[in-house]
Amino acid sequence: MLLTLDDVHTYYGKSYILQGVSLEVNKREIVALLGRNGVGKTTTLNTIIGFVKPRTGKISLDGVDITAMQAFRIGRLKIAYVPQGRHLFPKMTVLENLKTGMIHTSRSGALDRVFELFPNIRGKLNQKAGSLSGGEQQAVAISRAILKEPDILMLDEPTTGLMPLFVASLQEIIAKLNAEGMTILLVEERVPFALALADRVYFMVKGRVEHTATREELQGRKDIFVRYLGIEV
Amino acid sequence: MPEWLLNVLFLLMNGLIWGLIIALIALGLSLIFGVMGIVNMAHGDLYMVGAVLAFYLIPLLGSFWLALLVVPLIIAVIAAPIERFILRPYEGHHAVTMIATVGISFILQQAALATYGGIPKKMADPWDVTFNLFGVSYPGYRLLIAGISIVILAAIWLFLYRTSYGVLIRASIQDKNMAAAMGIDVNRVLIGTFVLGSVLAAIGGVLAAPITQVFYLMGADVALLAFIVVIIGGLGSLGGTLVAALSLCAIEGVMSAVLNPTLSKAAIFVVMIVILMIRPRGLFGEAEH
Repeated sequence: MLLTLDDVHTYYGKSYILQGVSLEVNKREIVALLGRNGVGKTTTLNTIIGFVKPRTGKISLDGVDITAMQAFRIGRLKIAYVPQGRHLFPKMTVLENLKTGMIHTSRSGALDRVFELFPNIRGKLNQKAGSLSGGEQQAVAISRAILKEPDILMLDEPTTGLMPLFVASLQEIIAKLNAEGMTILLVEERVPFALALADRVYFMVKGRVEHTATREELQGRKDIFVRYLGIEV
Repeated sequence: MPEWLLNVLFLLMNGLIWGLIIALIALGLSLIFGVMGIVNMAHGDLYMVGAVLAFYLIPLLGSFWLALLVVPLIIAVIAAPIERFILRPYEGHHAVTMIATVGISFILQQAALATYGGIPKKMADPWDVTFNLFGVSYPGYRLLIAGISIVILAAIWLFLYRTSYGVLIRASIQDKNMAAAMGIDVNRVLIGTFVLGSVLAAIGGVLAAPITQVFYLMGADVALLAFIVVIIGGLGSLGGTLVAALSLCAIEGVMSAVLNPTLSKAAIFVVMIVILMIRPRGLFGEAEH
């Protein structure tokens, strides 16, 4: 088991957001976390990465208890996060953004690997990250994350604001990263995108995981999507 | 060259050199606000403490250069616990940290008053040489200040824009959470930045001590000017800070030829109002993305 959340309860001030989330992500899996708006999907990722601390519960990464660990110490482990909205450092150049992903890893050729996946950013290295298009920003955000050489990559709404062409290409890239051994935890509103990639899906309702199923188990089960997401897939 | 023009040139030179000192101080202020979100009301007093320490240490050590090295070290030792034990517990509480720095300001002022005394004192130029500029004798020490300030500003630019640590500081300025997610120890960046900003104020104090009156309240005017420079230059812009500091001090210097000191200071506020009406984020401030 690479990542485990065991009965995690998280608050934002007085708001009780995660009300006992438990989930597991195995090595080399793609796991999707689905749910309606405001059920706590992003909070789950923010809790894992240490932006917000759970009040109770336990989070383990590759056997290490990271529940109370400071965010920067979690950031130095083999985990990377591409948050919703990308959160690039907008006034820094693309190259400087990428360098922040290489602070604790400095393997030669790492940048070339990124340019293979996202050839367009090679020509924009000296451009301010904030001036890039949405697709380019997403490419830089994912590149910055994979330069950390993580075992697990967490992606929050990676397709938001992207053109359909780039969505298809992003799907291929995520699949490729996974085929090379990277575990993926994906939060995504675009359900077909998530289903095309995920080995397993967790459905969240009001701060809890209510249902889990493999991709195969979801075949033809429209009722599950209607019940947990309120949509027909 | 007519005498009035020589006079204006002399005042312009003085203004530009004072502008370089202000640029150092304002840069420290800008870094602390940019990284920590703290409006450091004690910044001018760290400049004052730098000047008071220089007043004692330059004669004691017998070397201006040694004092220029030792005083920032002393200030670093003072600044680090201020950040760690007074400011950090209230991180993110902007009003509280601002009030805390007002308290630190009083403490530093009263400590200087109790030990140094309340009478303004003048010290001798550490480098008592004059150069002939356009037929006018100009103090060599002021040119030395210009040289040292330019070297330090260039070093800070290289540090921020050409080193890995500079990348960490700038990343932390822009997004602390994401910086932490990349493994950056933001707390270490915070303390480092506060110490660096304070040291820049102290260096300003050491450089200014021989050309001004050393006085326990000397930080107030300088802090106000530094705040104006940061606002006009654009927060976080090193180039903007330099341009604003040089321009404002040059304007004040030249204006002092025709106006009394109070009115020439008022001219700075007029410039600030006009610039902010045209560019609300300052000359080099960037819009949020």
